Amino acid sequence: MLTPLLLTLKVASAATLMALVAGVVAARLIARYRFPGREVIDALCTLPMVMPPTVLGYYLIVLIGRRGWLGAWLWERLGITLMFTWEGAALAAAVVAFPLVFKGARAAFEGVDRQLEGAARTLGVSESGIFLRVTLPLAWRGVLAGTMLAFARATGEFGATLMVAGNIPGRTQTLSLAVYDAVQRGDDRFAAYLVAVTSVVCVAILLGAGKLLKPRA
Amino acid sequence: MSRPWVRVDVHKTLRARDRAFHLDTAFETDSDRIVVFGPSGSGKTALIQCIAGLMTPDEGVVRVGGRTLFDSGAGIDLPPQERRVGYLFQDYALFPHLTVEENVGFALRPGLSGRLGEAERKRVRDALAAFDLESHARSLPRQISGGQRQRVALARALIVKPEILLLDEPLSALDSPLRERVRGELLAIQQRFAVPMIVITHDPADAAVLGRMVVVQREGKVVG
Repeated sequence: MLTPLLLTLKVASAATLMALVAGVVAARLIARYRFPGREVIDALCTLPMVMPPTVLGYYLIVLIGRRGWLGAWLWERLGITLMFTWEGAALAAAVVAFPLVFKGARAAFEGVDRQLEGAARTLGVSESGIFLRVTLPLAWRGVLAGTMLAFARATGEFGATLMVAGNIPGRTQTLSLAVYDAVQRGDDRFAAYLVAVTSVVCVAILLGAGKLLKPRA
Repeated sequence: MSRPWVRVDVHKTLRARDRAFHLDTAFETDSDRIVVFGPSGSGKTALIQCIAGLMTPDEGVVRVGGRTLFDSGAGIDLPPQERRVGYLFQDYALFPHLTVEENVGFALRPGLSGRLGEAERKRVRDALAAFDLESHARSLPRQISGGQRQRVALARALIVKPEILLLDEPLSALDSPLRERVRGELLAIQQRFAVPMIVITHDPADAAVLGRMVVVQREGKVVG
């Protein structure tokens, strides 16, 4: 009974971590620097939010499938593949959840007064020091709120995960896949149980994110 | 000591939508109290940002005390971190998430980690005492008055012993009874820390009291 929940939490946690790191780096670049192709990269970073997850899954197969651009190299050199593994499921969920971190972090970084960073510069503090001691502390609420939404999104991921990792009970079958499976089998009680668990997890996350997003008194 | 102490010669075209603004300002002086006087919109802030390294001139030279901070001909453009220029922002730019003492000691912790050492903590205490801020050490910037905020910003800038102090309209945010007093305080600070300063202002009274050398700027050009 617990396996799909624990697997979902593992996959969603790993996915959120990946989305967090990539999202913060991308948001920082887009929010701070003006460079050619910036709009294109901005659009690409937002794309997973509007594209069907199955299409994203297809792209991922092209990339990391055993004959994919990156996947072939991984398979031939290292003998590993991400296809039909929980790590592959996490990668798929990370791609789908990434725009939520990116959007939240970008708005948060753009909300930080650039003059404060300028002041820190004249005080001799390095750029990385400024990011860690000024920018991030002032933007963390927005970053964290985006991260919680990303976790919620990763928890419910279905389409891209199915394409990349399949639906293997105990290995890649997350909650949302298990719900589909249970309904197909006609096991309505198990489906209802899984739906209740998923709903509780998602509502809890949204309440937490809403609290963080509320303006400070 | 190299002469002149300060040499500024900056040219920059700033564009906002379809308008272009040309900053062409040059002066050199041995004075330790320079006032750049001009109406708002005359490019005064852009000028001191070019000196501090927060804005890059299209071409020109900035020299302070024998060090070349910027020289487009020689390809020199020191980052603001290496310029040793103190900058008092018009609205002070205090870090809102840090206490008064953390703001003052901000520059003493240039690394990524850790607390201040004992020697640094003593420097912060001394600076707080010098600026009469001891009783507000643990306050956040939003909890103290405008005059106190300005003293925090000055203490923060001066604790690293800059070679020159740039002040952007240091009196405009204060109400007029306070202005008179702060003018006197600024002069006292300048003497006490023996730091040359460049003050930009649109107030003739500031120019008269604070300036030994007054540069009059209008529409990006020096006119007197």
